[in-house]
Amino acid sequence: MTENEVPALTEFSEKFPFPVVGATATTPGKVNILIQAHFQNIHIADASLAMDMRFVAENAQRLTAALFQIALSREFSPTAITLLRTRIALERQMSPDSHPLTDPRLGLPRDLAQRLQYLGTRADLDEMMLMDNKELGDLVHHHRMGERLSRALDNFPKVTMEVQTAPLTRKVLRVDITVRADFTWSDRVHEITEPFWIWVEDSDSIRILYSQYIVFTKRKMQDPIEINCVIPLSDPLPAQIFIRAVSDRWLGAENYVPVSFQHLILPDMNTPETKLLNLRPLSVAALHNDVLEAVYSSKFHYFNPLQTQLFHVMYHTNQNVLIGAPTGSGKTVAAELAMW
Amino acid sequence: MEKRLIDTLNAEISLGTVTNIEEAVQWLGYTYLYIRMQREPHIYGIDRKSLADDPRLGQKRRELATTAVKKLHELQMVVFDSRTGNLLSKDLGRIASNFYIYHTSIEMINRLMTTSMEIPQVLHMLSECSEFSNIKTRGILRFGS
Repeated sequence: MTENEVPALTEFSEKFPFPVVGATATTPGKVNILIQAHFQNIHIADASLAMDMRFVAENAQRLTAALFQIALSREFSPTAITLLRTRIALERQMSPDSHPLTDPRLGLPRDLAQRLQYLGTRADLDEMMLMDNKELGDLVHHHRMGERLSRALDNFPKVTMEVQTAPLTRKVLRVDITVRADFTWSDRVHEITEPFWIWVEDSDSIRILYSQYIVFTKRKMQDPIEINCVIPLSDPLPAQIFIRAVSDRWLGAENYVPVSFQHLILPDMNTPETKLLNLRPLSVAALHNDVLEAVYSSKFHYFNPLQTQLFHVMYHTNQNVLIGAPTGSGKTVAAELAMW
Repeated sequence: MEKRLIDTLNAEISLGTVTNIEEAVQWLGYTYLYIRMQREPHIYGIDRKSLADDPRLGQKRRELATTAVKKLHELQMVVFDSRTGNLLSKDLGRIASNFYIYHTSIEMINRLMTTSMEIPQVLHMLSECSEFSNIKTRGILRFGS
């Protein structure tokens, strides 16, 4: 005999930072509440409900991991970030809106973590990085904690990125990204590896143009990781693109760098090409070689316009030639001519 | 097995063990479902006569495989070329198979996933997954029953 769960579930949902979609008595409503109860680390007394929560939390991790892969394959950047945050939050059993430094792995005292959570956006991570111990102590109104905070900030995984771009053609841009780890490794804080997702976004930060998973290890963390990719360029050229780095293990360990295209010089619109001349097709007899004529005349008696135009330079001279033509236009036969 | 047929077939396609509709029909012949269909045809809506005409259930197997493959194509999990019968796995199908995601969840994801989702929308999408369908709210109605 189980008692009515609805009042208990409704009571939980009133404390959650995110609205629950769906009625409490429905499956989606209950699942939503249980996921958020897992985030908030709520203790559930009812055994069957506690078991449901474990089941939901474990499956939700696998599902968000899959959903993240789907968002990545659909190239949806904002959704992918949200899903990654949700997955980490489920794994670490902390709310997705937690202050990054409240992660238990950093080992900050509970009251200090609560203080940071309370400060919220006023304790901005990027601003905190620039503060010295005294300023950090002032921020949390606890001077002795300045040093602890400073150490936590130093251990918190961050990366720096350097980007170089080189247009290959008007429509294709080569992007070289150098990623360096910018934190101090501590065996107490970090697991064996610190993985990050690096991706290139379009100018609206919506579409993912390229993505890669990179891993820093303790031994190799001083070595920069190079990423080389080629992305398509739209016409007209966007003002900029973004390179984003998101940790696969830590909430809020994210940063991005804009890459401006203001000074990007694109290659000429016109590609140098030789016009196909209106020549009379050349007979295979022009080879003046019985064996070769016999080889070709089994297939055709006249060279096509492309081969006719190339004939002299290929057959009679030793010049270097670069041929670029569509498939099936007779390039192979033209190349054969150079071999005889 | 009948309900899971679509998911299992998707796994075979993304592994590359089934590459066309003929192989899908053949693969169905290795399943326990096939044995059950032969033993108890009436449960699976096959009458005695058609079993006698077609003891190896070629027609029924083809029917099942085609329906499953058409559904997978509709969900963009595989590409099914109805002319040649060839089957090609897609990203979505491979992800679903790697993470054991039901095709019914994929159907919901196809409908709900958009470019810029925030946490509440993501939580809603998660809670709609078929994987949670056995989580039922024990409400006042079942009290004492």
